[in-house]
Amino acid sequence: MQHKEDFQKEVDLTLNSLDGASRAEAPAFFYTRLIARMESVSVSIWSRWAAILARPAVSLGILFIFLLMNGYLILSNLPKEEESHQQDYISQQITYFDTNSPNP
Amino acid sequence: MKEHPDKFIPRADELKLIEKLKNGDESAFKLIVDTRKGLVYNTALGLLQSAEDAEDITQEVFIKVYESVHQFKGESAFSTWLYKIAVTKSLELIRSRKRKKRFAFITSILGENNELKHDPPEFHHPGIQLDNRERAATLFKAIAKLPDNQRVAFTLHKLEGVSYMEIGDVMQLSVSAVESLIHRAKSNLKKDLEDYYLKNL
Repeated sequence: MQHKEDFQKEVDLTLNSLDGASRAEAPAFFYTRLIARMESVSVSIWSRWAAILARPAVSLGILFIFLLMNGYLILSNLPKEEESHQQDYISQQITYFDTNSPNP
Repeated sequence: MKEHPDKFIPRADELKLIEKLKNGDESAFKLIVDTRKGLVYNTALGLLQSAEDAEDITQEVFIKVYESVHQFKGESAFSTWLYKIAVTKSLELIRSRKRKKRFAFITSILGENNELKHDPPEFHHPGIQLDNRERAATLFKAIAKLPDNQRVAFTLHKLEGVSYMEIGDVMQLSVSAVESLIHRAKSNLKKDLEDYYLKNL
């Protein structure tokens, strides 16, 4: 009986053992270390990007996309077939008027 | 109810500091860190039970505060926002540790060199009085076995003295849900401690 009471008392004391605890303080020079970490994070973001861009797969991929866009721009700026027919017709007309013109 | 009045800044002044921080004032950031680092560190320490991890998470919380201070609209208390970030980051670390532990267990079965880590050493919270240290270490061991939500509610209430209402704001739960969580945490802890003392007393 006594043992059971001691046992329950110990459980209750353990359950309440955090009562009256004071707050744990952050270690000394916390702010200095925080600022150093923030600076290293901003540096490492750039170095991480550089490392990603330096990968052969990424750089070749970017080059491929660049060439693809160039090709698309060149093709989209080529005169269409109908337009080229019209241009041929206009140039033929100009040549015709030039050759049949009464004045030299 | 436990209170931590050290380095207390009135709410109006704190809101002014936050506005200054939003405008990029470094001295405001330093003052916020100096006055609130105890709150964040003690919360992380209670949840992670490791001084090294707690400092790491406290740094991450303040980096997050610096980067996302514009998202803080002042609808809830600044302390609530800090508790929320500290709890989220601590739980992320706990979960990633659990995943790694599980993976180490699987790979150890498969015969790789990853050895299973033994249980972490006994944790002694620096704010506990000497005559309660051993009991508190036993309690912390039992707290570590609780489900995440019970662990968070119990730790915030017992270690930081946070009210049920504020815990509700942090965990996005009603006050009655928080009461129920803490009640379940206490009964789970009691059961665990009874088992422990049956074997060790």
